[in-house]
Amino acid sequence: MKEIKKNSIRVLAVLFAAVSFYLLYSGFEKIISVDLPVSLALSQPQAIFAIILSLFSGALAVGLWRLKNWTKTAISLLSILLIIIFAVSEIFNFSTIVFAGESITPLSVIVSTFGKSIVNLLLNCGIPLLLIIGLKFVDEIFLESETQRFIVDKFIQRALVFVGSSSILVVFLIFIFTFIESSDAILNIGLGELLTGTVWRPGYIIGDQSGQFGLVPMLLGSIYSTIGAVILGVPLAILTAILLAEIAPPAVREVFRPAIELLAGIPSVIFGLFGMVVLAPLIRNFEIAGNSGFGILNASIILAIMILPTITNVTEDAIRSVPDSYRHASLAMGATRWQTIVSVVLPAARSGIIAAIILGIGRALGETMALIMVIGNSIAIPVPLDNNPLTILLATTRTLTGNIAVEINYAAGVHRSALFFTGVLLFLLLLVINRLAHFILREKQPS
Amino acid sequence: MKSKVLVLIAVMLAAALFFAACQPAAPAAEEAAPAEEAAPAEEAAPAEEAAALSGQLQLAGSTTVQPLAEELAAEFMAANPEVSIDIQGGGSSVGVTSAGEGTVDIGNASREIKDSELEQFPNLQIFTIAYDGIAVIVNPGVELAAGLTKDQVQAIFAGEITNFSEVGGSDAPITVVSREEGSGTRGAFEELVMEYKDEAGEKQIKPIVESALLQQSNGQVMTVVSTTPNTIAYVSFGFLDDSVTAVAIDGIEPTVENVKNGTYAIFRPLNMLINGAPSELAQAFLDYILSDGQTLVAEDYITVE
Repeated sequence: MKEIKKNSIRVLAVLFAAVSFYLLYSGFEKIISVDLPVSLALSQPQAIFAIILSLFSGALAVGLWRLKNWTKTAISLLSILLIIIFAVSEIFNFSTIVFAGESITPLSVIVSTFGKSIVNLLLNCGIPLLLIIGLKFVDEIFLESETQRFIVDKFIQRALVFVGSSSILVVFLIFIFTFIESSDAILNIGLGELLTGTVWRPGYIIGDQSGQFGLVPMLLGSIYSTIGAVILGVPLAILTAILLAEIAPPAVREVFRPAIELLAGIPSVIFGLFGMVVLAPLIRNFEIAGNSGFGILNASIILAIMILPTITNVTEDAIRSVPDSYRHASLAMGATRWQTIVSVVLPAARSGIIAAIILGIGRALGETMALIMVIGNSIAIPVPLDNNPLTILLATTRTLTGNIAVEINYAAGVHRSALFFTGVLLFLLLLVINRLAHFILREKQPS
Repeated sequence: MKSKVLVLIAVMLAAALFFAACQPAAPAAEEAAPAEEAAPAEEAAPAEEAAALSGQLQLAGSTTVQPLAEELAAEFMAANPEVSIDIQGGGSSVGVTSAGEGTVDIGNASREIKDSELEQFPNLQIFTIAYDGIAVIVNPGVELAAGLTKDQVQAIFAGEITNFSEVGGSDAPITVVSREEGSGTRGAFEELVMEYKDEAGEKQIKPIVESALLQQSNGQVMTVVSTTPNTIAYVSFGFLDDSVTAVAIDGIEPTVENVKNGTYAIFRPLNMLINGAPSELAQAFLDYILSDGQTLVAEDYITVE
């Protein structure tokens, strides 16, 4: 069997060599300006390309004859490349036929074009496919060398480091880009007004840079709505996680978990609609003057629903990772299930729970679309509507993210730069919260 | 495993061959018919257009002008099949800047062009294609039998009057709804209604109250006002419908007739802006809008005359 495989590879090597010679022959014809029989009629640049191709093909032929592993890899990769190229061009042709013209192509035309494309593809890709499948068959014949193993290992290490650092690079570049765009605002408006000014009226008139750019109302809006979301959402999420991890029997768990995952998948604009159409009339039932149904309470409720799946998932993982020996020891000492959970399990899962809350806060700070629809977008600092300080929840306001989204379309010059500064501010806020979390966790680590 | 794969491949191949063989029955008949229709249409039209218009037009800017421009473009494209017109929004300020910088062929604006903008783009040409009134609307639950005066409207939007009882309605605090700053509707409203003369006799504009809810298009304003009680807002005539109550200003109802006969003063031009000389296609489009297109304009807006 092995001999047959070896011989078939040798035949393939001869084929490659023949192709190489033919290409050389045809290319040569152009070089020495002589009409040779049975050759491809090539132009000057094509001839040079053909000679290069022939050298490459010759190298593959030699590699195949000597049963080298790199040849097998090279041929497989080239075949895959050819298949991809053919597939892409077929898709392109298919789209041109189906999407051309001014009316919708009828289904029968689409189906028949699809069939023709598949047949075309199979015909074109026949040889590469055969090569790949054939090489897979005779895999064991090829010899693997020490150098090759070493090179492959090193290459993969370097490649993984590169891939990993590319994500760090992207974050870094985004921050640098935002910071550069905001430099105009920092220089012309000044950090003082941006960070402590209480009025945001860009009133930007082209050529006349008058306008007030104070971000304090937006900062307060973001902070208040996030605090509200945390107050409403975190206890709910942690209790749900305890339910899923500790208390619920498997049947109940199988109902709750998919529901929570579904909640995580709902687009945020749907939450905005929910807040606008369902929550706003409900909140208007509070008979307080000036209550429009929009505002911080509305925003907090839908933010709480949005961050619930995030916090629940991470908290549940944290609770699960607490070793069972803790629980057994606690129960053995006479504690009830609930006492065990509160006094033993939760403190042990503390770092995970705090990480979950930080994730939730990050999500809440970054939420844009849903909040634009329910928080009112007014530029005023949120203040209580009457003597009762709780009515601050009914005040309308604007978040940092909403500020950018509402105005970026038409902002120009310094105004636009100020909006980029809002983005920088958001970055810094998230950074501070992350550092705070690390600080808290590091303090408790020794226990 | 291997046999399953082979079977799968065989089935796919058979299906592909089957589909390839299915030829649509109709194409021959379809191709014959439009060719016949095209011939008589061409014979009727050659006198009107010496050369068929073709090309692409990019428009951007005011969200008030956008629906009107889209209707006009649809009619124009139906008459000139080789032409394609694309219209985007972004607000009047975006329209002015894009037209001035040459990013688009025509910019839309639903307000007068400011002097500072003309300074920045001296070659900007302004073509008024229609006039559009701005109506003050309230939630249907608000009772304002006598309407409002212009000063009252100014005071309400500036935050000086905060309760409907001060203007003849019931005792309820007023929730002001406004548009984002780049909006042409807001710009025109501020120029026409929020203007006052200060001590030095200079014209100033009172800023709209801070606590106003901001929405990003005429449509969103309509939604909020129709569903939220005790709200007041301003909106383009083209968006008025039964879900809100349009308020009479100084006794004059906000209707197209009242704008035409000059009694309702809150209206603004809908402008199309081109930097420098218009291209042949843009000129043709503008000519169409200012002639036959005015019948379309007359449906919801005020024609140019």
